[in-house]
Amino acid sequence: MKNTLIAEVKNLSKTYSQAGTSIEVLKGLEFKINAGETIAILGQSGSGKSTFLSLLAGLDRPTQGTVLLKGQNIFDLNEKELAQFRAQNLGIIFQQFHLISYLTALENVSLPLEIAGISNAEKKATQALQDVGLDHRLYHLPQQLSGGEKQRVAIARAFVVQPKLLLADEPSGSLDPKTGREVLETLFQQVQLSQMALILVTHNAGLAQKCHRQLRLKDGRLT
Amino acid sequence: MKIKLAFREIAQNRKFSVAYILNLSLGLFGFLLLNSLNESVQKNFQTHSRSILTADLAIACRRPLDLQEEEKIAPILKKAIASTQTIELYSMVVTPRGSRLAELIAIEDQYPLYGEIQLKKGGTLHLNQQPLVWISTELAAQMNLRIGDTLQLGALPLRVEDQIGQDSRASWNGFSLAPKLYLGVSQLHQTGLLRPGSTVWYRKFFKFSSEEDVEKATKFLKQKLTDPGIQIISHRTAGEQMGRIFAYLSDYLGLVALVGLFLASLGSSYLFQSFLSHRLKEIATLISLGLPPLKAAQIYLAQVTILGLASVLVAFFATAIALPIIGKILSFQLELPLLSLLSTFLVGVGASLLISLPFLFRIRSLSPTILFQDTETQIMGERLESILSCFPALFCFYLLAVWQAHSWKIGSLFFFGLCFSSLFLAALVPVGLRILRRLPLSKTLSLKLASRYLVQNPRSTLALFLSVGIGAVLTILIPQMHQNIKSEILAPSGAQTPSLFLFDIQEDQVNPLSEFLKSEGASLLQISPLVRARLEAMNGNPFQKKSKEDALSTREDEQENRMRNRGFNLSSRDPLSESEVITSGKPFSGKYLKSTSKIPEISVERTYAKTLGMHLGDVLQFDVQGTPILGKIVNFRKVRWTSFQPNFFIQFQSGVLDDAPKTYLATIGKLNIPDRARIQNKMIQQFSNISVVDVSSLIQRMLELFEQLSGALQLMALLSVITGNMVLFSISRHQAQTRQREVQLLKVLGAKIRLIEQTHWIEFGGIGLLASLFGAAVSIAFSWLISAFLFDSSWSFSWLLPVKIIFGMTLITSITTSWAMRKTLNEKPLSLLNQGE
Repeated sequence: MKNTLIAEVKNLSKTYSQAGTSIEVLKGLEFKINAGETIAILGQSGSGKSTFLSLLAGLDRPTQGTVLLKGQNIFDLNEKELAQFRAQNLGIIFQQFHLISYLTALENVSLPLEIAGISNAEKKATQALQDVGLDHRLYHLPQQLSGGEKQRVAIARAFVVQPKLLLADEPSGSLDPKTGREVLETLFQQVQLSQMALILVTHNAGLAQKCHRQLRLKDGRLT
Repeated sequence: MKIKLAFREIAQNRKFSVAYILNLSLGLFGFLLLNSLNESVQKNFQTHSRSILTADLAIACRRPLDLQEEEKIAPILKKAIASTQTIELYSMVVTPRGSRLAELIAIEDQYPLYGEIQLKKGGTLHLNQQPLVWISTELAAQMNLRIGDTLQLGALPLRVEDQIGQDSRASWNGFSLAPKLYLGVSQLHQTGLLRPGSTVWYRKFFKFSSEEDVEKATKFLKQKLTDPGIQIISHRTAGEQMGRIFAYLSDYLGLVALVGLFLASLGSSYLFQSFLSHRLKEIATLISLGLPPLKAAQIYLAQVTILGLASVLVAFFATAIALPIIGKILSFQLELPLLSLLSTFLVGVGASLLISLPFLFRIRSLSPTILFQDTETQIMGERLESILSCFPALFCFYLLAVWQAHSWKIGSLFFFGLCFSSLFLAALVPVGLRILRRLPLSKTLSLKLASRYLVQNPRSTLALFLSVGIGAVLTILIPQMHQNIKSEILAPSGAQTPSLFLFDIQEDQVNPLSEFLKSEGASLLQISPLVRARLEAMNGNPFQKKSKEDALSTREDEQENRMRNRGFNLSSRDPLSESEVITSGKPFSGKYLKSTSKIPEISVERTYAKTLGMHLGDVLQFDVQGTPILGKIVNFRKVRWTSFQPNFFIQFQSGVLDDAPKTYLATIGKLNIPDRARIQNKMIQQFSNISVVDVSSLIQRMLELFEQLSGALQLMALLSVITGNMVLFSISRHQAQTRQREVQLLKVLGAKIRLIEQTHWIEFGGIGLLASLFGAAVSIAFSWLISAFLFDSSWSFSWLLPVKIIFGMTLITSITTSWAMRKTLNEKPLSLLNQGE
């Protein structure tokens, strides 16, 4: 494992206002993650896992605190810069796969490359799909794929830009146990190969054990 | 329970419900507005029918009634409590400053029996024995005439007593060749303008007590006076006839409004289909729990009925607000008639039910097995079943079109035209998508995303393409037809428009008039005899005058009735003029020789012949002032009426009418404005009984009237285009909701807002451009077909108008859809993660 720092979270807080009441979802979170490191964030429903992920991905703004990615506080960037930064440095895997329904598997994977303006997108996307064992499904639309295959496509899409940090939100949550295991195997295999950092949100303790570190999100704090 | 569940569905799907109601109500608004307008106008004409006719009953003829006819009508007319008469003709008014054609109405003391002629100075018109005239403000303005000025009518100088402020009869009249002038009957006789064959209307007016049945009296007179040249008209019919002028315009406005309703139904249908597609799994769940599919369908049937009713209500309110405003603009009292409300209610609820029918059928055969499927199930069933289930809606729309047009011909033409346009445009979508699929568009990401979306979502692509395409057909068709008719009037093909049109030329005036014009450097053209006659028999069978006016149902019936119940003007000409051409049969064999026993040859205008059921070889028998004349149809002609040349429905070969009493019509070719005024003034001084129509000012007046009609049509078309845009907005708003996840995903993957915006602009702009381009092509083809086959006129094309509309519609489509998408674009992509929470 390399000791290169990928991301550092400092004093990260998020408060929501609901019906005139303030709800402090995250309270001064602090942690670091290095290249090749995998961290599992555990927590019950409503504990703020998704809020935490959305802050890490720069999809939302915190009430307080910073997220430094490659030394850059992502909240100092404007929306345009943030979009570009995200395209080049972040990969996200969702529980519901979120593939674009009208694009083929190959097009879905090459999409982030094209957005980031990276050349040879199709070639790289084909390779990424081969890496996840889907070289026979390149031209299939999402509706023609099984759940496991969809999540593999989503993994390939997240890896294809070779991001520094990968965020995974319950990646096996919508799959049956066997397929889930296969998909996670693929995911960890890819993380190991690419030496990127992985933050995995789950409430599956067994899955969390596969990660280097396990952090629990409770009452807005990481323990 | 069903109603309760239906209301719950409406409440819980507010966005869909509001979009559905707005869509349908906009289509119904145009329909209700127009029908209310039409009914209000008709009602107004009915209320004022006695003022329109100025009597309870009137008899009009081109000649004074003979003694026998007077005796026939005496029993009825004895019952009249008051009567009067007028003699009306067109003639030239001469002043030292110039001459002009005017409509002379010579009246007797009691005229008008109803209504009044108010004067500018105040009070009403009263005759005395002095040579006085009362002129319309229009004539005063045209000839710069003031009260006290003297003008010349034929041989008689008359003093302008006053100007007419308000004329209850005139204000209801439509297009007139010339402005009005009133004088006494005894003064008219002194002018010397009444000559044999002059174009004169003799009218008798009668007033009955309120107990008298006017319609019964009218029927009796129609039975007694069988000459088609005699018109017997009750005040009720006069009101209907006046209303008919507006009704003709209203027919076409109604059809334009139906396009709006069609587009609105298309939008509502798309929305309902999308809504139901999202509910299918819930419906399947209900079915799996034991609810019979028919009952499940009934919940949604109740829902669309409620939505249809709500749309009708919104349309009612919108019309109730709009009518007083329009009434103020038109200076007309407008109201929401019960019949219009009822028909809109039926159309609104009916449309709502019919457009949902294909999808509700699908529920009937819905299997709960879809609950085990991962993907979203579409509501559309088998292709054949889907097509068949559209037929009830199409059939009802067809009936509605015929009802609105009051014509099977126009209604069918409209319906099949719209169906053809829709099918043609719809057929282009799969072809276009197939081409799009094969195009190498992967180099530009926005282009690729846009094309991929269109290809993978053919139903929404089709709905968008149709709403823009049909909008373009309509938007281009109306101004294109406007331009065609305008250019046909301004520069008719096949004949040069004359400067002056002359009528009431006496036989003995033809040669001196020709000589006079020659001396003035002009020439008399197209000299055509005019012989008044009546058609007595066709192939030996007495010609039937149609009198069942109450039974008239379509515009075609009305046209036949008008053509049948009229006097005949015969002429003779060989060869034909340049404004007419033989379409079937053979040309005349030459000059008719009285020594032969052959039946003289006649030529009949083809539309006229078709309306009256005439065929080549038919023998017609005419009565020309007591003398029977036979004629055998040897050919049918197409006449270009807009040439402003003397043209006739029936023409004999030359030599037949030589001995008949006649007047002549003629034209004078192109003259510059000073020459025209000079020749006209000098000519009237020498030939005071001849009436002269200034063709260019007549064209101007016709164009002004036409512009107003065309403006009304374009205004209604605008409403249809707005409806089309509402459909666009609803579809793209719905798409924005369904594509929210994809837009957010693109943002998560690092796509900038600009890229997503660019994708939408390409997608919707592309649809807008292609749909309006093909819509324009369909529209231009239709304008050609209508010009060639319906109006029988020439076709002209200007590329500038379609280009402007194509670009305009592309821009409007892009703006409308971008507006619908804007909220989704600005949303933060947080919901993608919330599903894991």
